[in-house]
Amino acid sequence: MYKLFNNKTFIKKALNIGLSYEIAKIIAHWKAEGFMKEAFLFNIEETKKAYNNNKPTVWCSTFVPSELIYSIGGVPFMPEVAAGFVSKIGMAAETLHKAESDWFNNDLCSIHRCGTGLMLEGYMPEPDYIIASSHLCDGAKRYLQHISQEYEVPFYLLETSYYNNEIKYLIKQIKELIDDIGITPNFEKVFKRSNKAYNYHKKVNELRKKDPVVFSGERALNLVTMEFMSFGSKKGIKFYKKLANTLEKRIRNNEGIIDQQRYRLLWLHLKPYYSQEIFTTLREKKAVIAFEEYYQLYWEKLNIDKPYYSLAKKMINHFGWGELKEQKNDILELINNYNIDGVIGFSQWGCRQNNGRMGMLKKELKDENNIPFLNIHGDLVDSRNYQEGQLRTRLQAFVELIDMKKGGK
Amino acid sequence: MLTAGIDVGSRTTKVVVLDNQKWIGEKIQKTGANSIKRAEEVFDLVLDELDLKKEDINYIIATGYGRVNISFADEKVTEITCHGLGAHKLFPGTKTIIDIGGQDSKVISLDDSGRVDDFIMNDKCAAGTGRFLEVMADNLEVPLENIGELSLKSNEPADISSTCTVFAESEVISLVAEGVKKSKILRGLHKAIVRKMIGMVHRVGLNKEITMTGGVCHNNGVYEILEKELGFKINRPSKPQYVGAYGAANLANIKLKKQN
Repeated sequence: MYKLFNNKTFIKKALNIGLSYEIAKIIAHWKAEGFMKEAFLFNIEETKKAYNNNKPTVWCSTFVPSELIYSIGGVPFMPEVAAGFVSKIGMAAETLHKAESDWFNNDLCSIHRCGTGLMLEGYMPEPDYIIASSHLCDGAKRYLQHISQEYEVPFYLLETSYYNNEIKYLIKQIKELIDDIGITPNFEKVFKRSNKAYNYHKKVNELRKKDPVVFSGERALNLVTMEFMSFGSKKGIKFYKKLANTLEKRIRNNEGIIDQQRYRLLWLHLKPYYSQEIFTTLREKKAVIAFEEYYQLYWEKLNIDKPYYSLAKKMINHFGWGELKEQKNDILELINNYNIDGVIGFSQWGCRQNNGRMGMLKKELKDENNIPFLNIHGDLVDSRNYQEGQLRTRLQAFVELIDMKKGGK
Repeated sequence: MLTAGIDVGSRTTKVVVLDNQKWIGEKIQKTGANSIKRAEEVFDLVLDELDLKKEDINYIIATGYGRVNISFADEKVTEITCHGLGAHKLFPGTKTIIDIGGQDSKVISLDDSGRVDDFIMNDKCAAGTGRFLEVMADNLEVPLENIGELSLKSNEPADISSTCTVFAESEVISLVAEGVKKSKILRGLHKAIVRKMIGMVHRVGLNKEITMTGGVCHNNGVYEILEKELGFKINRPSKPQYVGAYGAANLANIKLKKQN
C-alpha cells in the first residue's frame, strides 16, 4: 500500500477516476462503523466532487465557513486539510521539498508549504474560485492568491475584522463575493443542516464533560476536517449525530478510552498528523486529552433571516481571533467545564497567530491560576521537525509534575 | 534499605547507590554507542566496589534520555523530576535548578516543598550544552578541563553571537584567524551560554535560591559569569553530574517506603 502512495502517477490517476472513490466507499462501509464511517464517507464524497468538477470547486482557507461554499452550490476544498492527509500517509516531505524548491521559505507554515507543493506536483483538483479569510493564518491569503494566479481563477479575500463592532465591512465583502460569483445562494437549506449538526455537536461537547474520558483528543483532532468542512452538509449532521450516540453508549457502559485514567488534559491548537508517539506517551502515564480548543462551538447558530451577518459573525467569533483576554477566559472556562488537570499548548513552526499568545497563556494559566501548562514546539505536517525522545521527556515530565501537584510522588 | 538511581545521559552514564538515604557509592562512564551495555557495566562496577549484587538493591529508578531501555530498573522517571529531587535533597532551599548536561540543558523550578513546579528544556539541537563546549575546546586545541580556568584570565569576552555549535564554530575560527586570544574567545563562549541559560531562567521565573547541576558545573568560567550576571551566589554541588542519579535513588527510596 505504501508503495502505491509513493507512485505519483497512480495517485493522480486514482484521484481522477470515479471507480477509486467507489472502492474507497466499499472499504469504508466494510471496515468502519458509526461516526468513523460517516467521516470517511464524507471525505471520500467531497474529494470525489472536487475532482469530478460537476460543481464549482472552491478552494478556501480553513477558517472560511463551509456554509458559505455549500450555499452557492460549491464543493469546499481546503489545501490545509489535504496537507494533513498527505502528512498522515507519509508524503509530506516530498511536497514540502517541492514548495521549498519553488522559493517557499522554510519559515512559512509547513501546512501552507505542503499545500503549495501538492499544487505544484499536480495532485490537486483544479479550482473554480479561491477564497481566503484574513483571520488567524497570515500566510494563507498569500499562498492561496499565488495559487489563484497559477490557475488563473478568481481570488477573493475576506478581510476579517478583529473586533465585533467592525462586522459591517465583512458582511459587505461576503455579499460582494456572492454577487461577483453570480450564483443565487441557498442559505435556508444549508443553514438548517448546519444548525442541526450544531445541536448534535453541542450534545457531544456536553457528553465529553463526563468521566472517564470517552472520546480521545487524538481522535477528535484526527477528525478535525469535520469541524472545518462538514457544517452545512448532510453528512455533517449524520456524523455528529452518530458521534453523540456513540458517546452516550460509552458513558452508559462506563467505557473510558484507557484503563485507570488519572488525568484530563486540554490540548491547544492542532496536533502533528504524521506518525508520532505524543498521545501514546500520555496514555502510558494515564493521561488523556479530554478536550481540545478546536472542538469549541465558538459561533451562534446561523440565522436564516440574517445570513450575511451570521456568516460574518461566525468568522469574527473564532476562538483564536479577537482579544487575548477573551481567549484566556474561554480557555479558563474549558478548564473548569472539562475538569482539566493540565494544558498542553502546541506551537506549530511558523504559526504566528498561535505562538504569539503562548507566553501570555503560560503566565495566565500557570502563574495566575496555578494550572500546569506545557508549551511544546513541533510541526503539524513536517516530520523532519519532530524529535521523539525530547518530546517524550517533556510530556512525561509534565504528567509527573501534575502527579506531584496532586499529591503523588 | 538499598536503593539506586541510574542516569543514562547522552554523554555519560551515572549511578548512585543509597543505603537508607545515605550516599554510599557512585560511578560515572561515557555512555558511548551502546547505552544499554554501558548502563549494565557502570551498574556492575559500582556494585563490585560496594561488594553488592543487583538483587541486594531493593529499588532501582532509571532516568536520563536512555532510561527507557534499562530493563533492570524497577521504574523509569524523567530527568526533570529526578534532578528536581536531587537538588532539593542536596540544597533544601533550592527554588531553581540550572542543569547544563552533555547534549541538553534545562531549567527547573521547584515549589516550597521541593516538588517540580515548572520546567523548560533546550530545543532539539545541542546549542549551548556540554557538547558545544567540547567542540569549541577542540577547535581551540585546549583540553576541555582547562577551558574554565583559561577563560578567567580574560576580563573582556569576545563577542560570540550564537550558541549554535555550527555558527559559533565559524565565529571562533574567524576570531582565531584575527589573532584574538583564546582566553577571550572562551570567555565569550561562556558568556553566550550564560546568556541563553538566563533567558531560560526568566521563562520559568527567577527565584532564589539557584542550584547548578550537570557536567558544565565543573567549568569555573561558566559558573563565575552565571553568578555575576545573576547578581547572587548559586549552589554548586561537589558532584554535579550525579544530581539526577542521586534524585532517582532518593525517589526509589520514597517509592519503596510507600510500597512498604
